[in-house]
Amino acid sequence: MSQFRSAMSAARNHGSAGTGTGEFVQERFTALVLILLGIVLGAKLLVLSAGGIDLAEARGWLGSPVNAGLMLAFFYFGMVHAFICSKVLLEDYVHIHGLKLLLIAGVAVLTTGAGLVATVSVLTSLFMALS
Amino acid sequence: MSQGQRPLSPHLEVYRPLTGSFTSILHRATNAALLGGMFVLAAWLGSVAAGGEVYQFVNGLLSSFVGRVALFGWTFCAFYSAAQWLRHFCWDLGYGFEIETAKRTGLIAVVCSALLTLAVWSLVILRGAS
Repeated sequence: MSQFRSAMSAARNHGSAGTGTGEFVQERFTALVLILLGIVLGAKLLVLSAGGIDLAEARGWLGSPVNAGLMLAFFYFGMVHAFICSKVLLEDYVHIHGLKLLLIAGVAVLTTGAGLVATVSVLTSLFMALS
Repeated sequence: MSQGQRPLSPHLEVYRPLTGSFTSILHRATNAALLGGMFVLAAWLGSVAAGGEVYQFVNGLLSSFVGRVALFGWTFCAFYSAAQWLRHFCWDLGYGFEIETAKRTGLIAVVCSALLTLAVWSLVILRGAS
């Protein structure tokens, strides 16, 4: 699209940076995957987390490779989606450049950390059940 | 700076309450809440792996009154975020931009998410009672 922009608009740095499409597509793709995974996992997850389930039942559920795989996928796509959405929010509402970068980096650390905790935990439960 | 001339996203204190800005702001708020929910889910998965007292503690928090209210809230957030994304998919394909249609789908998204949340939690409570 750059040929449609005037030299003045380029100099003022108006308009798109031209790199947002990948993120736009990723945001929507992860949303679609999360809706599908959410339907599959959601009901069971709610019942489990509503407190009516003991540890053995929770471990039995995560001990199935299918359930563990679905949960890993849910966390991977969930964390990618959460990071992009949080980044969009911070870019829209935090106008101090340095603070914005710091907060985006913080969200990146938190989402990566939560993803790692979930991955290691799910795999631990899975291998405990399989061994 | 030329930055000042750029259009801004719906800002809480600038926009008159309208269906469009309300549904957008609610979507953003629910997504922020869902990020917190994912952290709790990660903690719960960790407690399942750890077992013993750790699981008892996390399970106790989630099955407390506050925990259940939070889970109820996250259920609504999940349904609403899904509904909003369905609206976004339609917009991305070029449909639903007419003001009346956009208002109606926004209203449908809020009402359906609320009804689905109530339906799901009725099932959870019925299952817990049996």
